[in-house]
Order: sequence, then structure tokens, then C-alpha cells
Amino acid sequence: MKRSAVFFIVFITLLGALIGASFLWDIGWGRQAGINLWANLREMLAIVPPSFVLIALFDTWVKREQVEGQLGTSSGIRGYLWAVLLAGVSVGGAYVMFPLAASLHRKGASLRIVFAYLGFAGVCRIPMMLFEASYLGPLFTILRLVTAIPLAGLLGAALGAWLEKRRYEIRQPAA
Amino acid sequence: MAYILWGAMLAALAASFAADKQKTVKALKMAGKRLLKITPLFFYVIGLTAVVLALIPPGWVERVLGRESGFSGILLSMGLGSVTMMPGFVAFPLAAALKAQGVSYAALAAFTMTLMNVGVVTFPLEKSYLGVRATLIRNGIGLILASAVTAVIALVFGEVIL
Repeated sequence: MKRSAVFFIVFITLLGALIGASFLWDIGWGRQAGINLWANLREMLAIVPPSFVLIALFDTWVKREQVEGQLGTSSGIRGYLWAVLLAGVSVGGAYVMFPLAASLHRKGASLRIVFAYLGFAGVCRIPMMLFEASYLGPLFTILRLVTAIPLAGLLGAALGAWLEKRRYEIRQPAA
Repeated sequence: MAYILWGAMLAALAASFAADKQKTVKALKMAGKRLLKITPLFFYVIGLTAVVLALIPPGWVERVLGRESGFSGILLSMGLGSVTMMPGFVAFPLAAALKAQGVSYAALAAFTMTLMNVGVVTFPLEKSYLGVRATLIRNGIGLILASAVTAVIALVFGEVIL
């Protein structure tokens, strides 16, 4: 068996034992960990499977030329606008944005735009902004967006440009 | 939100199936294989997040961030935001509660920005897609973004952070 598989089984067993024991002997933080795990698991099951199917359908049906035209090296400012829009409707945080970035890159999106997208995805996800504006006020959200969106685009593009010169690839772990 | 996603998936699958059955089956297999491959890393992330969040005693974040103000408070907020991971529906109510206890807007910006843009717990997951070097730089950029937003918020809200 592969080492990573052994590690995974040990991790799951330990976590299960910890939570099981906590419920048996009523250990507060262990019980809380169990409750958190259940909530995380439910969130993941709600978001991840449909996202992965949609990404795979994207990989199957969308032609490379179409992505290249909109998000490729010669797409200019329009590519960044697409990246902001895509980030706005991204759900699931890290579980979805990295697989999506890998697929976009494989289809011909430039690394500049892919890394700009990854920056935007942490900054301007719509559900997140709605929570933020309602709890901390719209001025807070607006200031944050005005500062972070240009900077995320600029630094993401710079990182992408730097990586482009190094024959860098984003991997899709299963491919 | 999840309903929209599942609905979109079903609609897309139906359209794809009508257009080409074999291609659709191939896509489903591709999605399944990728999911299976990455599932262990997802479990590390949600397992670690669950334990880390549970180990933080109730009220601890409020106590620590409420007591420290100024620059050390900002640094602490960034540290906490980087190592923890919580969904938006937990993070922003917490931020509002912190605000009510007198924590500055600048510290809240530092906390929420690092929460969303810097991930210590998600490092292994991110690394498997981007590689170590790009992951480190990307998280460094997250810190820069958080610092810039913190500075702007402090300036506009008239808070002293130095």
C-alpha cells in the first residue's frame, strides 16, 4: 500500500477514535470537533460533487480556442474582467477554485489570468461580500474591494508572468 | 446556493447526455477519478479545521483580540486569520461581535482578509495543484493584500494602528 494511503487511514482512524471517545466520556472540545466535522462534511458534500461534475463537463465540451480567445495571453483586460466575474460566482473556496484553475489553464487560459482569478476568488466572492456588508457595513466592503481587486489582479498577473517564463504547469492531481 | 449548483449540474448533464452519451459518461468518469484522488486531502483539511476550531475555547478570540490593540493587535489578527479557517457565515457574525467589543475595523480587516486569502491548513491541498513554490508566493500575496486593505481601512476609519 502506498505511504499516503497508510497515512490517510491512520489520520481517519485517529480522528474517529478521538471523536468517538469524546462522545463516550463527554469531553467538550472533542465533541465540538465532531460537530464541526459533521458541519464541514455536509458543506463539502453539498458543494464539491456538483462542482467537480461541472468542471469535468467544461473540460469535455468547451473547446480550447474558446477559452484561449477569452482568457488567453492576448485577451487583455477582458480576460481579467472574466476572472473577476468567475471569482464572484465561485463557491466552495479552496475545494473548487484550485481544480477550476487547473482546468482553465489546461484549456489555454494564461497563467497571468489564472493567478489573478485565484487572487480575486479570495477577495470578491458574492456570498461572502453579502455577509460582510451586512455585518460590517457597506463602506468596509467597498473599501476592501477598491483596494484588493486591483492589487490582486496586478500581483496575480505578475506571479503568472514570472511562472510563465519557467515552464510552470498547474497540475490536476488525477490526470 | 447548493440547490442552484445541483440544479445547474443536472441541467448541464441532461444537455450533455442529449448531445453525446459517450462524452457525458467520460466526463462523469473524469469527475469521479479526480474527486477520488483529491478526497484524502479534503479530509485532512476538514478534519484539521474541525479540531482547530474546537480547540479554541468559546470567547477566546474575543478576549485576545479585544485586549490587544494597535500594531500588535493587527499582527495577532493576521496570525489568527492565517492559521484558522472558517466559513463566511461563522466568520462575519464573529467579526461583528468583535466590533461590538471594541476591536478596531483595521484588526477585523486583517483577520477576515487573511482568513480568506492565506491558508495554513489548506497548504497541502493547494500544494497538490500549484506546487510548493507558487503556493508559498500566492499566500505571500495574500498577506500583502491583507496588509494593504488593513492600512486603507485604518486610514479611512481614522484608526491609529502604529
